[in-house]
Amino acid sequence: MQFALRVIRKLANIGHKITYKMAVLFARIEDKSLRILLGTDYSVRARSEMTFEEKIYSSIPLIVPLNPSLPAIGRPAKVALVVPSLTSRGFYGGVATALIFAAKLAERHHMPLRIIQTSETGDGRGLEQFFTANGIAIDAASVELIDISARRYNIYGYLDMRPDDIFIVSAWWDAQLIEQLPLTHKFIYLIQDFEPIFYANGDMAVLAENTYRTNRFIPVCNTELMYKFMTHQGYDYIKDNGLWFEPAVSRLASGKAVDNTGKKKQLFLYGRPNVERNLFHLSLDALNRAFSDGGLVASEWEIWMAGQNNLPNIKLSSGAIIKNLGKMGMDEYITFSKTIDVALTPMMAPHPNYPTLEFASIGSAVVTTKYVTKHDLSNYSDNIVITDLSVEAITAGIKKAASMSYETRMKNLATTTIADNWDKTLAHTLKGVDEQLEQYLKFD
Amino acid sequence: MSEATSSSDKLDLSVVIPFHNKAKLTMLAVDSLLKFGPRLREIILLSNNSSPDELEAIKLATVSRPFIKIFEYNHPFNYQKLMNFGVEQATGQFLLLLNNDTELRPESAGLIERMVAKAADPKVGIVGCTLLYGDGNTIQHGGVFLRPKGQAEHLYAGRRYSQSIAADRDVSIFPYDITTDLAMTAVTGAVQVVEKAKYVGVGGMDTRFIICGGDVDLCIRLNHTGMQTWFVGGGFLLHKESQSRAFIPIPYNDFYWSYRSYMQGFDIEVGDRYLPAITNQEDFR
Repeated sequence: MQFALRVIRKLANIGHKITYKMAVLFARIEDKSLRILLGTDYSVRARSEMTFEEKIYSSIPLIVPLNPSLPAIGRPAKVALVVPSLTSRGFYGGVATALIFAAKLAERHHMPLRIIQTSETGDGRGLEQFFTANGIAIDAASVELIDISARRYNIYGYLDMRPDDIFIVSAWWDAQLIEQLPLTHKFIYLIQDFEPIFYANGDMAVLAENTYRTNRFIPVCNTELMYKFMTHQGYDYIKDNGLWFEPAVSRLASGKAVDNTGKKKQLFLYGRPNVERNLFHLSLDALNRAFSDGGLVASEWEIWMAGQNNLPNIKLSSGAIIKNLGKMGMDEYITFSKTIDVALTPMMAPHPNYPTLEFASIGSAVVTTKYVTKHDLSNYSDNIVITDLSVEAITAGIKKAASMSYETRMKNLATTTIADNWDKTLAHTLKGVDEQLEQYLKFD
Repeated sequence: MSEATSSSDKLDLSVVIPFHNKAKLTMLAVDSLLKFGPRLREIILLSNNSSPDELEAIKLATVSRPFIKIFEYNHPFNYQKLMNFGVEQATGQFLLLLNNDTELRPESAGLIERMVAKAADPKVGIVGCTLLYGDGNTIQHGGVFLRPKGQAEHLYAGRRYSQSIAADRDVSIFPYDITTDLAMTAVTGAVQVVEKAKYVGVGGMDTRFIICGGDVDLCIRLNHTGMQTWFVGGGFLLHKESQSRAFIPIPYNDFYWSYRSYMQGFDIEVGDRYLPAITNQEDFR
């Protein structure tokens, strides 16, 4: 009995202790929660002061400086391509063009190539395959990959370099970083888009725009249209020193578009809602109208979109459904593109986008949009229908493209000038680059 | 105690010590120098935006010592401008440029004298020495070398001083004997001895640098004029680095000018011209 009482007393004591500790714990949680809610807890309390560097570089990490450091012993001067990232998701568009340009320049100068990633770490997988596919005889294993994306306001980023390295950049923030380095050559600025228009009016737009206003770079515009736009914008340095090339993106060598006569026609929307200049929603509206007002008959068409994953299929008012294929691999995309009669590839930018040229080059009719100095793309191909920036105009463009017969589209291939060989299309430009590289920069 | 006097054995040496607050720390540097260092001409204490209280404490501590002169340089921090201003005030033939978080220890008595003697050679520019962290056995500075794929680095930084000076030291870790005098690319600005005429002759410190890099640059520029930087072996000062100033992010500007300067002292085929055994070892620290 006495033992039982002791056990009960002990248990009661333990229970009391547990209850007490739980009460203390809950009180602390309550107290902490209250402090967090009131904003007085140290973990959420606004700091009264921080350094200039922390404020600026935390807000705009893209421009955290790149500190030059001494080169490795015995290392020769290199062609140094600076890209935001070299992810293994594949090399498309501007990054692919920059890789080709850099590799061709390195080949031409018999210099090793290094690729510097400034914003996001990629392992460069597929580089070898990419170079081979583009006829570049560079051993990918010899390409030095450098990652300086981890730099922060309080983590210095270093780049070992020689002053006579030849730098190539494509993104505005990389231009800003490299412009500050002590170089004996001007760096090559591949102007592949007018990047201030990526942003609303504000810091980023100004920063991007200001990179065109120095004179420490060799401007190389992707397309003559891009060059003309920069000239039109009043960048006199680019006007006087600018070079350009036409991208060798023709897919004709891999085969023409198939003839769908007598079968359902195929319409493709370059559907990237997260890339605003592709005008995704205006395109949807235009497609909706084209299929609603009797211009296009839903039963005669299959409609696809690709370019971005995780988008639902979209049902138009007419009942026609746009089926999303997501982001496609290059081989899949090339095979698929040959089935397309009409491609809708709007581009609210000064240059023709690659899908426009790619589809036109194999005989698809393409609808794209005008922008400031980009009024006419018939010099590339008569398969391109260019429209004003309005839903009505894009709708009319879709109808016009849909009315182009297969025979007409194939006939237009005879006069198409879309480049198909990088060596040929870059030859003149690289010569111009060489001339400007010979003008050494003077240190102040 | 070897307080500066009018006796004939004193060195014609002006010590220039910049400080921002930290009166106690600064006076420790001064007192250690007076206690274990040579007789000297003057000590110039350069206040950079110190608080009135800290400045007053320094004044009180030095009131009975007329050879300690206090100047105020109340402009935004620029080490180079600060030191050039201090050197302008100096009247001695030789300068000892000294950080205020240093301390001369009794076992290093005679070190400053040897540094000044070295600096008197017309073919010698800046002279430096070993610096240890406050624990007295971790090397903070054994001279400066230029690191391939890096910047200017302190020789043997972080390594044990006792091991570095041992007769049977491991030469794979300590390829250079820091008990001997060594020609070097540079020595740290924390402790530098130089003839004032040589300092002034190359235009002093380059004020395009803001926080750091200017000390190494000065050495490199003097090297180029035929006045070699030397490290004087044996003895040490304590350098309680980071106690003198709160962390200030180094601006890109200093990296830019450092690169420009260091490339003048760097040999792409060798690395550091004076300490190749160190610079050829990629992972060596």
